[in-house]
Amino acid sequence: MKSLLHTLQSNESVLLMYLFNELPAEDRAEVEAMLSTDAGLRKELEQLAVMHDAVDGMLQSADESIKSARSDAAVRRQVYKTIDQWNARQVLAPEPVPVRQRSRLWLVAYSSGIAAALLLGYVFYWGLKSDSGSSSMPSIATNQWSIQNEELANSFDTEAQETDRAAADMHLAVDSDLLRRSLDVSEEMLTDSLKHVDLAAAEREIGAVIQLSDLRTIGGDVDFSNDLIQ
Amino acid sequence: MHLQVAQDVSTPLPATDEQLVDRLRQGDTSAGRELADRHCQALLRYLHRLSGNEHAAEELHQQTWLSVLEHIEKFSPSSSGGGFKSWLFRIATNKANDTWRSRSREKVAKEGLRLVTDEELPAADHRLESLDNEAKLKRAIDSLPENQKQVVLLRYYSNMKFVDIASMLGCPLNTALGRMHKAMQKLKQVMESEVRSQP
Repeated sequence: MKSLLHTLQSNESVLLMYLFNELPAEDRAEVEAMLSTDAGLRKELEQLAVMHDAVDGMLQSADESIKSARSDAAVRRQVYKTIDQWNARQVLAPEPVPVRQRSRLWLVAYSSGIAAALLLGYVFYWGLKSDSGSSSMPSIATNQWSIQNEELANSFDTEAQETDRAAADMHLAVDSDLLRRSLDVSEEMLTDSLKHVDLAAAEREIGAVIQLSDLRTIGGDVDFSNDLIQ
Repeated sequence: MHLQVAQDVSTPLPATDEQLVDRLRQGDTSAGRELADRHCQALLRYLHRLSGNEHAAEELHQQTWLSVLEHIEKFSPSSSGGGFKSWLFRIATNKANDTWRSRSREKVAKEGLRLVTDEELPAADHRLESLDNEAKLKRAIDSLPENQKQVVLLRYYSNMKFVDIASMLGCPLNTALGRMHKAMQKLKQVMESEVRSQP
């Protein structure tokens, strides 16, 4: 690594750093070695030292001669007062408002989105399986994120009807009212979450859920085997 | 001899500026007063030389401490090269720069203000000599370009290292040193010529 001394680009810079004692010990020793062999550099340092003393002396004597209209003590008292006032304001200041509220909203919206997406995926799969030949099934897979909320609600109704039919066909003890209510809830949640959740992100979420979930596992609780559905 | 050593050991070390800042943050105003005691005078002198007049210096001094208190939570010794003192002078320099910029925009007003401040100087006989020296120094410092003035005053009043001054002013170390050298030369020349021109 380059030493500080070797980053300095002129004799004046080196000598100023030396004079003000700002060089590391090694660099200082190197400058002293140069000074011992270079008379010109020594002279330059002497001139610089004279200038330094002159400026320092001028500033000091001028400062001593200043008799302010207000003494230093008065100025200091003013600062004390400022500190006391600041401290009083700090003590009286209300507790900072928690900033977690917004992040909690996002958490709720995101969780709702995932829950709705899971339900939608489940219903979508069910609808496809129970009516694989029917063309009346809305093509949710292609349109689902571009349709308006109203259309989405219609599709939920259709799915609910299809679900009822499928449940009856399979003689399963599925409470269609309960399912409809849950679909209504999921629709509501989805509509709400769509306001907050990035659609593209949610679409990726759906895709991941469908891809990762074993369809048999999804229907596992009620044993929706292909054979049974067909 | 042993007693002397024991006394030295038992003497508590004074708190560092950074420790005082921590205490001030926790509401200990005596720590704030201690900081003010340590730095008020040098800061006031620095601002006096930088602004060229006493009233402006006091105003800037007050503004600086207000700003310090308002931003005390943000102060970090590691990010402020040179510690609290460096940070304090940085704030003061920024305040002075702001004032200087606004005054530059009102140059005529500034000239008028200068005339007024010159007239305001008291002229008691026993202080004529010191006032004369003060006026000479003021003229010498005023003759420096603003960037040279800042380096030389920061070095003499804040005692900051050149590396920290360069970092504070946002210029390379060699530039800061070059400004310092030129400023010292010019100050010496101006003061010498003032002496020669005396009857």
